[in-house]
Amino acid sequence: MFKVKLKHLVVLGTSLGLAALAAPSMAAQDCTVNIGADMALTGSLGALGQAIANGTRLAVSDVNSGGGVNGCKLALVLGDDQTSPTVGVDVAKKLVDINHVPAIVGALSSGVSMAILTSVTAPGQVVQISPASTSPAFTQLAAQGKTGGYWFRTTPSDALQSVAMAQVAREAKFKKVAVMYINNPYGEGLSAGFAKAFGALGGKVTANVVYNDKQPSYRSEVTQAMAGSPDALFLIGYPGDGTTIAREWVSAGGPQKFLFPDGLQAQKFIDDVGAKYMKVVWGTAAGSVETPSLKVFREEYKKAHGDYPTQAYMTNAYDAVMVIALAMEHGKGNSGQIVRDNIRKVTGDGGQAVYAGAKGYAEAVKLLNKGKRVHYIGTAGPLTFDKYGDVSGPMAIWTVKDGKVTNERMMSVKAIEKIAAKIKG
Amino acid sequence: MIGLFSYLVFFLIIASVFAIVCLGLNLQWGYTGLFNIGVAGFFAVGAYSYAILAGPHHAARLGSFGVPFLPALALSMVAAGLAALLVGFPTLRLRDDYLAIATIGIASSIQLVATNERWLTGGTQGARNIVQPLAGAFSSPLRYNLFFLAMMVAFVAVVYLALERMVNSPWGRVLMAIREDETAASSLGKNAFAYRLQSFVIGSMIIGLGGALYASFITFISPEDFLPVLTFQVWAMLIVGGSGNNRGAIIGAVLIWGLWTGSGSLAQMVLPADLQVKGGAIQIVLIGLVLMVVLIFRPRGLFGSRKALIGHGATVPE
Repeated sequence: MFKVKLKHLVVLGTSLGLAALAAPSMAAQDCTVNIGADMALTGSLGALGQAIANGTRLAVSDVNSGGGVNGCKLALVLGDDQTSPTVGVDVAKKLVDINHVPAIVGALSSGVSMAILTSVTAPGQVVQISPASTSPAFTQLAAQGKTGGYWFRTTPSDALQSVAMAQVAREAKFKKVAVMYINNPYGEGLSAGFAKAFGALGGKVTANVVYNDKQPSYRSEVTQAMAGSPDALFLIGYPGDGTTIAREWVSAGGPQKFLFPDGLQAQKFIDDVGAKYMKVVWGTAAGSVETPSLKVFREEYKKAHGDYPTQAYMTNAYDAVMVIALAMEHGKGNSGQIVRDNIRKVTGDGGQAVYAGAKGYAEAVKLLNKGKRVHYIGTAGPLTFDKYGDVSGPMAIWTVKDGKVTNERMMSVKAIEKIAAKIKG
Repeated sequence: MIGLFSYLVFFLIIASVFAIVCLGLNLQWGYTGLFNIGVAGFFAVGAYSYAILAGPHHAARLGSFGVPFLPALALSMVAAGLAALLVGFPTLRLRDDYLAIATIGIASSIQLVATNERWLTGGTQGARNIVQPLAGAFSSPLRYNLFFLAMMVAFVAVVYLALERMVNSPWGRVLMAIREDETAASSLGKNAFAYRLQSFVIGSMIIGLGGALYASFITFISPEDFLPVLTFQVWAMLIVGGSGNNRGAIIGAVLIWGLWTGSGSLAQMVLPADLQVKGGAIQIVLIGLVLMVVLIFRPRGLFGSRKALIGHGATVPE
């Protein structure tokens, strides 16, 4: 009787020991950390959203080939918001309640992101990082303390660009500028910010004319904008309607001097209007810094999907996932709170720079495990989040030379901040 | 488990908003035969009215009235009713297709007003910080949502019972008579126009109530909330549930909203990772498929006992 018991004990002990030995390696394969993506895969932003979703998926596979998060596999739960706030909110709630994600990448449209933020992520203490919502309304909401610090975005607010544009306009010796802007949060935010900044720098906005997209003609809006004899036109919009407006402006006899934002930085737009009708062109665009990370991203994207589309926000979505993974790794945990509190500790400019890609991520994890401070250089530019979750990045100043869109110089974050302080003070 | 429960509560809150809107449309279409495809417009009027009336002070747009929750809801309904009255006077003399074209135009106009009149609606930036009833009185978001769901169920019940009484009264019988044969109803001395207008206004008030409740729950609305797809959703709910049946309207709302949101999850679950990005399209296909199947096998909807005064199958002499 006793003998048998002993034998049992030995077997039990050995198997327990083996199990204990096996446990760590098992854990590395078996545990999964979910993060969510709430993106427009159909609806009006569907075409854009699919490539952006590919950006997040690429980042997840890089994180996993780089060793995963805290020894676990990172999994992406992707939901389609159909570019509709009601559906987007439902998708987000599902991600939070059923998939238990500590962080959501999305949404794209500012209206959808805002609905998710106010009704799901902020009350549910889940980090939300949008790769594409540029509306300044988020900064205001954060300033009122209604986001709980859970809101971030990897694309700069339009407020940054409007300051840079005001400075560019002053340097071009424009005193009076007419503004025409597309009726959406992008146009509204950029035009309002520009009017404020340009006024503070001693310029004058002679007209601030809003237009709705997809109209056959903009003659009446152009006439309205020309009143007050401006020196130049600041046109905010996208190439399709932008071409119509710029042509009507020129044919109505407006000064052939233009200011264009990132939305119009397209060679096709310049060609369609005719470069010879544009005597002076100055433009701004966000985050177009060539980082080593961007090179890695471009190569990986090409490898995974065949070609690399020229479209915005894919890189921003990639960065959002990387920042979440690094924050979890830094905080040694995966709750929403840990992600929120550690995002600023793996970005900014302290410690050693780390880059995108599986190798870059593995390197970052190694440094973090040694207790070193790192900061992630994004594929869309260096990332520094301010206290409202807004990212600041340098602005590229571009112009048209011999009919070609050419980057002229960079305006650094510090330079923009200096001008912004001057405007406030 | 608690997560699933929490999501279910959230889902049912949104579904009950749709149920209320669907009940409103059912009075108009199911009982009176008014082809209103401007549902999104009246929903928007209700939502924005609530945002303006109950909102805190806001620098960029109208609204510092601080009206308490229930009066704000009532006033939002009145606003939607007034909008319906204005629209109904010139258009309700039109029949069928003409009314449809007029209402779709009006919904788009209301959406454009919401987009452009920044002083009123906040423009494309939307209206945020909308007041929630009893916000802060509950210790966790789940408890708050449970309270909100209980309130929504009560609202659905009140609207349902009120509508049941209305359509089973002599007034309701006149509506159905007009729906079946307007000339016959007129020959009995019933003023068809007046009845149609009443039904249109009351239905729109109920749709407006849905809008106000939606705004109070999400606390943020923008013009993107009121695109024509909303009208399509509500119509799909009514057709699948069964027009002319209030219970069908409620169940149709829950079913279609479940399909609308659930099909996305299904697509993500079934599809391999490489195809997930394209999965959204399958969702739309699935919704279309369900609609067609229902129309083929149950042309009157799941509960469609559109109670006809003239028995089904009887032919009306031309």
